[in-house]
Amino acid sequence: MVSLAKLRVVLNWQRGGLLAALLALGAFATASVNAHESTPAGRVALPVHAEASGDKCVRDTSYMKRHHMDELKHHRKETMRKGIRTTEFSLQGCINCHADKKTNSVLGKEGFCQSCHSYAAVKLDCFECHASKPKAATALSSMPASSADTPAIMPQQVQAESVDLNSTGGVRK
Amino acid sequence: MNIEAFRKIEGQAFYALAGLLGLVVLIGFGAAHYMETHGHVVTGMTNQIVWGLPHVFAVFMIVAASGVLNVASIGSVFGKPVYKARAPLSGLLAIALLAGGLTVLMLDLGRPDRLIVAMTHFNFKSIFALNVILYTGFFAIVAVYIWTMMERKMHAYSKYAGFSAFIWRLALTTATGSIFGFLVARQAYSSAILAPMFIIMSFSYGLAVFILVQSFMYLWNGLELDPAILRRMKNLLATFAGAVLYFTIVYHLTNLYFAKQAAFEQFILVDGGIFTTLFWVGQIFIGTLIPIALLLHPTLGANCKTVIWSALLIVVGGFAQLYVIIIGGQAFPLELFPGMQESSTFFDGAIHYYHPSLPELLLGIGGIGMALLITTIAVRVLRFIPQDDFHHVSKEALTD
Amino acid sequence: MSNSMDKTPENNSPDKKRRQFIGYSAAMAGLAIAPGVTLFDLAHGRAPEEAASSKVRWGMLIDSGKCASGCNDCVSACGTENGFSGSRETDSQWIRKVEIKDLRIGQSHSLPMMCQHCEHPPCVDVCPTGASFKRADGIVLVDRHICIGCRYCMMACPYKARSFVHEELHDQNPDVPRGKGCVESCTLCVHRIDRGGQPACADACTAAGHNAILFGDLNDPNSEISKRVATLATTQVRADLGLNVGVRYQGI
Repeated sequence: MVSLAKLRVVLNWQRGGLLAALLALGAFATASVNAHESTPAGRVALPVHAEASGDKCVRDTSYMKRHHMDELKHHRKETMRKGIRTTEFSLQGCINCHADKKTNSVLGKEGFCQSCHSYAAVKLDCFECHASKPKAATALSSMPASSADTPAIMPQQVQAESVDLNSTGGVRK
Repeated sequence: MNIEAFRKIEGQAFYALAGLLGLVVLIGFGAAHYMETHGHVVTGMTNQIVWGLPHVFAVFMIVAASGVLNVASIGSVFGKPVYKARAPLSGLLAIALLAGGLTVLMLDLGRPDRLIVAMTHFNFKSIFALNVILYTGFFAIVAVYIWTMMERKMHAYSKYAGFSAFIWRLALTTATGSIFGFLVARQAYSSAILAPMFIIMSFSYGLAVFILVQSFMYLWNGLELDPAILRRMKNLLATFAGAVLYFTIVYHLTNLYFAKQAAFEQFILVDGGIFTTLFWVGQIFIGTLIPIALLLHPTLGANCKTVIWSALLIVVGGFAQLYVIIIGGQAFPLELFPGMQESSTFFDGAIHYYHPSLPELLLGIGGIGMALLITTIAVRVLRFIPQDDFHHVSKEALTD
Repeated sequence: MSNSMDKTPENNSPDKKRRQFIGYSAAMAGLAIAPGVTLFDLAHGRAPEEAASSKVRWGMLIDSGKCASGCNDCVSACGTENGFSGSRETDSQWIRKVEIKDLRIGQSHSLPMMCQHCEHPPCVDVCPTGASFKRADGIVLVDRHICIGCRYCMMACPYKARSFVHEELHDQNPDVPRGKGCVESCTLCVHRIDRGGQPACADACTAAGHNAILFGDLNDPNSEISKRVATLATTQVRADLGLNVGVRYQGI
């Protein structure tokens, strides 16, 4: 009891609060420690990615740079909740056009999505669930409009050329 | 020993304890990180047993959190001085245990990174969503309550804050019990009795945890707790443990009365392997009968050590009880076609097995470590140690 | 609750252009699947930009008399379509064959069990974030964008229809996004339905000549499924719960 009385002189309300805040902060920091991949020394190189296969994007580049996620989110809600499957802002549409010819994917070091997201250090969460490759042209279930501009690649080939999501730096987490 | 020397030793001991608990917490976080990066495939949980050991730990801590506040409620709401002196510690433990329990629950999610989603998207028909609000509110109300108790100027409001906290905690435990009570699909749940049963469980677990922490604190600080205080608490503890037993009996009797529940009761009470053992040996014998006998024993019961051991046994029994409720309830197969024998590749009609893995256990222990770490630090920076007027206490205890 | 989740922001500026584009894509679609056009019209008559409507209620009627014990065609078709396999305790199973035996009379049945697409789904009631939802046309789905992986819906489902994804997945079907840490279940092949098709299991069963799974609109009195539900003795599994399921069984 004696020690506590003395302690209260040393640690008053404010200091106690500060300590608590620091601890809480520390706990949060520990909790949110994510395995960030190491970045190359010096300046971060500008993203390099392959050309898209289509002629023209659904909007101009500056608009897409800023708003692609808004559009994707709006579209995902329409599709997910209402079953509206238009193609203009569908993620599949993006992937069909922007998949790298070599890897057939929007991921990978020079992948359209990953290269830029790594550069901007924005977590890319889509491809934990969504396929990062265009849909192989198949019968009924493929989207008619999008399958038209899907490169005809056999699934086996797709697999062979696939980039492992795990092994590529920067996106996960 | 002079004061300076005592402070030095006490300070070192504090850092040692805080360091140890910090390590336990870090190991818990490490386990959670491992589970998150590898997926739940590294745990013992499956598509059959979907809630495992982390939920046993989390539910225990959440239930105990609301129960531990009873000590404060008895003091503030019902005006008992011995309990009133313990009210700040009781409030602190409530916050610490809830924080520990929720951390475990949150880190066991499939997508713990989406915590913000749970805070921004609410389905108000879900008892889970309601709980998110009740838990958050509990933190706030108890914090205000502690403030009214510790700040002299606010003393006048302490009673009102205490009363709100008491009502809130009843709602909180009702909702926690209803997480299970509202599950129509499973035979073990789908019962209104689970809500009051969880409340009475919280009384028992909470008081046991309080007694353990209080005893450790007195020991740690070289203080002696007036046996009269412990004597009063032990009678209450025995009553609570008895009440839990009563609700357990009613719960099983209700089930036994319904013919469709007979197979489930047979499973839990007779041939459920680990669950039957945990029920009879863990919950009933170790967690209920022995502590009640010890606490009510005319000579043994008066001994401080007996009370502490009984409280420990009740905590152990509490874990056993929650293991049987949560995991045993899932182990019994869903009955899709009554009266038919079922089999499939998805284990229809078969008893499900659960083998808890180390990361799950470490995560759960990490949560307990977190609750204790919060308590240790708070007790050091603020005056949470019960401030008894010893003479007054003894006199009051004798006349009461 | 799902109602409030259904509310999306009012149409905004991109929509004008979107409509143009929809026009183009609809035209292209028409050309691309010229032979499929009749199918499209007959089955649903819903354009891509048209939202699913509550006038329709998708359902299935499963004739266990035609479902052979040991036949796994629907299950493998589902696996191929939606991208999973395996029967470990941690593996997803959206559809499974259940063998049941009446112990009193010794009679056995075999039938596929999957999400029953309830009218009053317990999974939707318990979901804290509203990730579990029922679409207007009666299909019960999980919005994985807001699923936090709490698994409360798995506790609540009377049919054990839901699976939790226990590990990382790769090479998903672009039409069927699935990933670690979320709960999932039979979607009634919603991506096929939206394009005028029917679930893969029903297709496979028909293609193999078993004809044990009939898919259709329970709200349309002239549909084959409605006629059969109206005239035959059909069963709802766990009818005692009053969930009004979309998947009905006959012959059990």
